Amino acid sequence: MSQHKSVQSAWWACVLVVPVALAAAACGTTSETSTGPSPVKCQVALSSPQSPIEPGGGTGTLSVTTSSECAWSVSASVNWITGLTPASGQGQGQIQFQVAPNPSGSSRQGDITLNGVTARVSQMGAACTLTLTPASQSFGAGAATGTFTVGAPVGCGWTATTNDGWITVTSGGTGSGNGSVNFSVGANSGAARAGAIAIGGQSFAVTQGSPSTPSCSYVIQPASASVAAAGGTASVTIQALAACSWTAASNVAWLTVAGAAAGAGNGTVTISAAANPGSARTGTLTVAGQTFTVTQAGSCTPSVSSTSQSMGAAGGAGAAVSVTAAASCAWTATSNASWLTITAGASGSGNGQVSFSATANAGSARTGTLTIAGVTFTVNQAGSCTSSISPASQSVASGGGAGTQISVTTPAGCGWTATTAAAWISITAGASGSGNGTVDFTVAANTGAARTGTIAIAGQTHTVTQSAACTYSINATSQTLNKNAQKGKDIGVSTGATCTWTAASNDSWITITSAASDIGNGTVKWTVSQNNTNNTRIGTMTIAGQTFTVTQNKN
Amino acid sequence: MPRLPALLIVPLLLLGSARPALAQESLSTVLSFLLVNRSIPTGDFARDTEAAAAMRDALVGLLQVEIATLPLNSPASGFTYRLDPELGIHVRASDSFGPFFLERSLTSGARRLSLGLGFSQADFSDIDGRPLRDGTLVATASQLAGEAAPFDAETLTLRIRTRTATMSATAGLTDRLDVSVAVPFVRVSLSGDRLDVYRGTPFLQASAVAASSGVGDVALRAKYNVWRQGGSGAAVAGEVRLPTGDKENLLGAGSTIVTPRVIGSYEPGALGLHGSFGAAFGGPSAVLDYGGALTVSATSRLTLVGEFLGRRINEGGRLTDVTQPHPSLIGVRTVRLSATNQPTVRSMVSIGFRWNVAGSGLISGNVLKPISTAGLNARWLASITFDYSLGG
Repeated sequence: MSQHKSVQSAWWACVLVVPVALAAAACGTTSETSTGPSPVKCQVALSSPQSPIEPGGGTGTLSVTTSSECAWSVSASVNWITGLTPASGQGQGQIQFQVAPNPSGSSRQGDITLNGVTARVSQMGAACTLTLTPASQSFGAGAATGTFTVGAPVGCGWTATTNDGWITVTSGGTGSGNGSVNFSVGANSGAARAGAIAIGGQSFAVTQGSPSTPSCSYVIQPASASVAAAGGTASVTIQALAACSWTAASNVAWLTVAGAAAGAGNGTVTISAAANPGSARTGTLTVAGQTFTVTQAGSCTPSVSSTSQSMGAAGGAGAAVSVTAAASCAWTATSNASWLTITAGASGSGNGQVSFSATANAGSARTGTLTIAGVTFTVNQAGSCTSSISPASQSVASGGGAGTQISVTTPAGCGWTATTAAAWISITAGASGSGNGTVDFTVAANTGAARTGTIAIAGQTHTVTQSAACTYSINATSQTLNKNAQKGKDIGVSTGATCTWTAASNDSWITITSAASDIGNGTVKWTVSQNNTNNTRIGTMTIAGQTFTVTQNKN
Repeated sequence: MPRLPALLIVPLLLLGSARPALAQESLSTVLSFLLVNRSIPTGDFARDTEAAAAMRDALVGLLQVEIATLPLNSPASGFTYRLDPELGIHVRASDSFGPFFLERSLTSGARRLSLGLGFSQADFSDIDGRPLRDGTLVATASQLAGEAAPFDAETLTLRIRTRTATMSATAGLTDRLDVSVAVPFVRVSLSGDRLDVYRGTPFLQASAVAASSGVGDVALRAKYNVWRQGGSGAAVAGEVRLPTGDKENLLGAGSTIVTPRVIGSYEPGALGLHGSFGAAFGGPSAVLDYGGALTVSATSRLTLVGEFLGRRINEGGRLTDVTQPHPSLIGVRTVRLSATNQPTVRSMVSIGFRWNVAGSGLISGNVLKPISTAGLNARWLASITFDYSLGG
């Protein structure tokens, strides 16, 4: 019996000890962690402009395609792309930008980058039109050197060549962009001659006199004169070497050379002006190769039907201007602005009409003048300042505060203002501006019903809606339950969409399982533990500031 | 018999020479890694790191409380003896072998020694009623106003298993006073994934596998029978759980827990009713534990047991969803899983048997099933114990 008991004890000892020994021997800690690749979220697609921008610059638009929750910001890689509007945003959208004129004859590319995604903007190069200054040069018979400058867009190459053997391009024969050309002319032993230097489709004229032609220079004194409306004479003296001949000729009908019309050396020319039956006028004569100007007062005073007119940005024909004058009173109409053209009635006598037109205005408002029968007629043309704002409207919480910044997109030079009639809206920045800009504003707290106000920005209306002061209600205020642990009926919370609220249990046996906080309408789920007491118990929850009472019957 | 103490020394020596923890991250750290730290820049969605850290702390704390306060099998002997004054010898005080987890009022008897070894396993399946293992536990989600579902949601899958081998010994110092010790050896294994589903596309963000083994919190107990009549009686008991388990590895509570307890038994015959009420102080949270047991002595060698165990954990915490507007994205609100620090009640029921195989050897088996959703729960917890009683 003793042996049996000993064996039994050993078996139990093994049963007890071996597993424990194994367990103890296995003490320790092991761990292995790994991380996955970074999730790719908020992928963005950015549309590229479909056609290159004109050399003169312009505006472009890019479309942003992404999920609604994805925020983005945009930037340009080159300084000739400006006015990115809006510079940041969230979700789908469009971005406008401006491209400056391309001063180069070569096309160029720039990038607009949004969250790492790039859209390429191409702009064509400017046309390679050269300007030569001066356009010609004359030389005496002796050898001489000359120079002229070449104006050309950057990147526009040119070559100066000549087919005349007596002209030599000494430097600057080839170039790109602005530059200058130096040349020389050989001594001329024969008759006067003319040549040219060809460059970029232009021609620089070179003339050279013969050795037999003395080097004559002429001075006329005075250079101009005035005569009365009734007519009269004026004299002009000529100073020249004795061998130097000269002529005098009128360029207008009402001026005539009364005396000798030609001579050599020093001399005097008498000029006769006919009576002026019309308005004041100006005429010229060419005396010894110089221009002599005669101004004659008018004998009539024409009047015009109006002195100014306004036109739309689209341009086109303006309203005709009536001229009232005596039948013998001649008058003219001229334009002083390149965008204004006299289309009819450039001159006349007596009563008449002047018609004009204006080109379309792609920029800001502008003013030009016509001179009609001596009267300045002013044309005011509106600009093409189309503006847009983004966003067009927004909602703000009842608590007030700063609103979302409003972006204004409009061509450079187009001025705008931002004003509001709502006393509860205050414009804090960007009350006025020119070109693209932004407007900041704040909203006062709303203690009453929901309200709507507007901000007038650059002719657009931005609507601000402010929700009513947050009020909360719950769809029940109490519930009675039996003793068991269980779920309570869901409690609905009603409030404004931007109103936040919380739910909390005030007693340990009531548990809010969701949601402890939320925004807008929501539901509170809750449970109670078993009531193991011998008393009915009452507890509460505070939900959106309201008290919900829970009564649980006793065990 | 002299060989037995020597054999018992072996595991203690092994325990003393247990391998130190390898240079690995603790289970708490690994859990934090899964909950928050993806080691990947968060990219386009700004995170409220303070809120994320709060969620991590709350969940780790919740798990620590749960694992550290799981009920241990009672180390008390299944055999109870009392001195028969007429016979002058110790006789069985009850035919019943008593409950599993609850103490009963009867003591082992003077100069009685009982040794025990129990094994239990738990595979945790849900926390606060939210499944842990199927990837539906949403940690954070972002949703646009007006949309029916979040456009971005991060979900957790956690597989947590504990295996516990508890070695216990109970000595009857007097006819009415028992002292006992229970040494649990715990293995906690953890694996999990964190999955981000953005616009229907899943991204595995983090995976982790970790396991830790070691001594749990050692329990020292004393029980004094203040009154008895047959199998019935009343006792007072005290338990001290020492912070021998590594808190960082979820092996222990991290601080000493003291639990005074009162016990009552009513066992007029084959049926026995037992009740216990105790209050634990110290540890991660104050706990009230209470329970009742019904024992049926089917035969002199077999006792069937049914138990109810309840725990009210003062700072057990409950999971909740917190919704806040996104700090920078318009129309986006973020829902975060968080925890509230509030009392919770855990309830379990257990059924099983205690079988006297031979001599004074006892094999017990039971299954434990949670009947409340609060806290960390396993679908079933199974345990088996071996006891052997010496002396007399």
